[in-house]
Amino acid sequence: MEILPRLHLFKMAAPMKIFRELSRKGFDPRHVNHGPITRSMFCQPCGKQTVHYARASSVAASTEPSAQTREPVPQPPPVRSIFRTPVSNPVNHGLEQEAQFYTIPPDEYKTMFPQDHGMPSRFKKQVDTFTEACIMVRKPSLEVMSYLQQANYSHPAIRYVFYGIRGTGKTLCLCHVLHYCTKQGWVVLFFPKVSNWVKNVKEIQPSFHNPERYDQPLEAVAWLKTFKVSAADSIKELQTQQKYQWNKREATEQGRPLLEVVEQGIARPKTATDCVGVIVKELKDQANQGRIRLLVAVDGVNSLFGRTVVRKPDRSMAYASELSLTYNLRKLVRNDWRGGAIVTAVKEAGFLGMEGEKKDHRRYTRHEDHPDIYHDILDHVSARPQTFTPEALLGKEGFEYMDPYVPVLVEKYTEKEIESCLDYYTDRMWIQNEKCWTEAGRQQLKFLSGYEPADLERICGPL
Amino acid sequence: MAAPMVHGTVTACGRLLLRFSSPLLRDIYGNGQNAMLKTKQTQRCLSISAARHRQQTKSTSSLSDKPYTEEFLQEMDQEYQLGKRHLANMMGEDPETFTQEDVDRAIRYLLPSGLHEKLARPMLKPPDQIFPKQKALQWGKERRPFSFLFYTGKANYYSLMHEAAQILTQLNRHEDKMLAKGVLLPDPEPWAEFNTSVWIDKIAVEKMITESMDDHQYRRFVEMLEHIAAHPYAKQAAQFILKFRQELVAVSMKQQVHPLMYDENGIAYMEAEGKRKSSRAKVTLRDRGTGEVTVNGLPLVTYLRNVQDREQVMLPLEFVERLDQFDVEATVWWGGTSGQAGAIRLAISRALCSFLTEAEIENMRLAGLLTTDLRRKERKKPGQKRARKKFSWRKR
Repeated sequence: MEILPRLHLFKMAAPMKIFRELSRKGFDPRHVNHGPITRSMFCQPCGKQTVHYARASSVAASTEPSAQTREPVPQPPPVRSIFRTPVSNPVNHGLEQEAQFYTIPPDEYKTMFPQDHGMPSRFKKQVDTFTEACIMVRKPSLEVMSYLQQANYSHPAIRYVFYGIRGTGKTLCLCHVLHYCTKQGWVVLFFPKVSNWVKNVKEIQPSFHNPERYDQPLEAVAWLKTFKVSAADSIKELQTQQKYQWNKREATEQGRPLLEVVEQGIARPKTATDCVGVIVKELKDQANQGRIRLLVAVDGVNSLFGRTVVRKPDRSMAYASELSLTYNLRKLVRNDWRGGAIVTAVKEAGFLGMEGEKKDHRRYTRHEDHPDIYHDILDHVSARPQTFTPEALLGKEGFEYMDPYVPVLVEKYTEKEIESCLDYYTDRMWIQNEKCWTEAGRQQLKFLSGYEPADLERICGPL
Repeated sequence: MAAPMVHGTVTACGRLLLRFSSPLLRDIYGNGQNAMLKTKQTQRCLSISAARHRQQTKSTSSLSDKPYTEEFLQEMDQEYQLGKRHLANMMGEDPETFTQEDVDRAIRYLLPSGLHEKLARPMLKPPDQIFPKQKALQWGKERRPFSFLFYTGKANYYSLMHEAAQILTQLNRHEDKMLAKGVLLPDPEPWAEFNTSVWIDKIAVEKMITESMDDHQYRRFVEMLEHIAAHPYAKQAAQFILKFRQELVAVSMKQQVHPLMYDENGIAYMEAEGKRKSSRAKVTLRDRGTGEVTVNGLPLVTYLRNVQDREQVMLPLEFVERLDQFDVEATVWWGGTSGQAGAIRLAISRALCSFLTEAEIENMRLAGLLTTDLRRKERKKPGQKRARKKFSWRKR
């Protein structure tokens, strides 16, 4: 039990206490109405006794914290390092820009990624919030860009596979490379989130010319629309090389602009899937002939192989090779053409398990060090395979199909990168809590996120 | 041996023990001293609990509390002294220096009892412990009450309040006198006894005034005393106030700190264990690290996906501001994520102690980092949905 505060003591002590608080916080106590006892104690020396009135035009008044409002003027957060680079063209990016953020010019961003398609959802929100699309220049993307620069394009196209654990920035690395190729004047075929084509399928219909295969008109139309925006400039001079019969009445003659095929697909959703196939085939041919440089960017390439969750009309599951969209895409990923490159990323989210794989149902097993203890199998490292490697995600079929490829590991942030990222968030006022600007606060953020980009972004959200 | 004497003998005093000790003594010694024990005494002591019972029933049955008479208590005391001497002789010790502790020990030895209820075990206690203090007689021979507060029904309580009020008046008078002299406020004096004590609880006050009181009355009493204690000249009434204060016992938990261990490279490390809920954790803390935490061979962020759990693991290291000094290697099993995180936290805190100074350890203890969380999951009850939640029920 506490004794009541001695009231008379309290009355004496309270103003002193308040003034001590206030002066510690940097307020001018002259503006506070207080008793006559302490007034003399807190008066400034006479020379400084210029009273600032609110919104005074003098320089001093504007720089000092306004005492009248009794609120601290927010200080700009301290920014330690150079985290931003003015070089917005990825062609000029090199190791000196590493771990710095570059801004994709808004118009280019809009044409490359119409309606933000293909971006990770958290990044989409970030673009909205920050009103700019900033991507960090990271080593994996620089590595692939240097390969693309040095490659011999008279040889078959080389495949690059970004891989890494969840939330390390594989997709953003892919987008960086995509921007690089767009700037070089390549034709870019970007297939974002292929896993959606085998997972979240609304409707399917049997193909027009091959009843064993199934079309996905909605997905195809959606892709054609984005392709029309992003590739309008680069393919406007290209022409069809043969006649395509869509159905009994409609056809596209030889020598027509390729954009007409795109328009056809958008106007007639039934033929959209075939249109995608035609575009793939045409562009591949034209790249083979050396007219264009073609970049095929596939996010979640492992969804092109193995099982899907699409049900055929006879209620059995379809394989990826039975869906026309993924079938056409598989032809594109095969390196039987030259004059371009294939840059892909594998995704754990798109992994649907392998065919005929047996699952280990022994959830509880003996602990390695303590044989008398049973424990959860998921708790122990030896029970967990490394699921993020391309071999594991592609499976046997995919691995054989994709072999040979260049695996590029996307790792979590390094010390330099996380410093730069924290500075960027601080600069964008994404981190507003003053305690997070201190060294101790940053250290905690690093500890909690474990240097993982997605985790860091998530943890910084409410700060 | 203990079994036959158990029934109905919640109370005990000297004679009670004698009754049972007499055959024992005859067996063991069989000397002339023990022959003094007469069967008559034994029979008398049989009635002792009954005598008290009679007294008790009387005291509770009517308003006119009949206290134990002086003669009765004296008699009991004599019996207690006698019993103690007998016991000392039985144990072969000096009866003059035989203390109450020795009595208890002797009874534990001679009459071992496994009964759960402590009061049911055989005992020999001084009569003032067995027979509680009772209200003194309140009226004289002509049936006139002594106290003018008799008809309030709680004479002692109200006289205590009166006393307190008088003291407060005196203090106020004194303050006025000092004000007249020109002393606005006395210099605050340190009052260590007051600050290291708390008010005694209701039961203790009741015992003191030998009257029952309700919660409201107790609260008013404490308020009154606090009023006095808050007075600037309260120290003058120290004698009165401290009667109702209870010394706080200083609890100092000394954390056992193990010395550091060194590996072949001369790097200090420490191992410790921790538990929370059903989880158990073993942690190795290595000096000169980079702040890397591995749990069951995986990085912390991979193992604990919940940020709250990671915060738990971070807490001890962050508390002593050594986030980047140590490498932590944890093995944890059983339980769920939050329990495992808590177990790791405790283990890290314990291992950290070896690297810290005494003051830092004390800070960690005060922050509760070194305390084991004893809470467990509450069991589900039949007829209920969860531990506390009930099935939804609607009156038709």
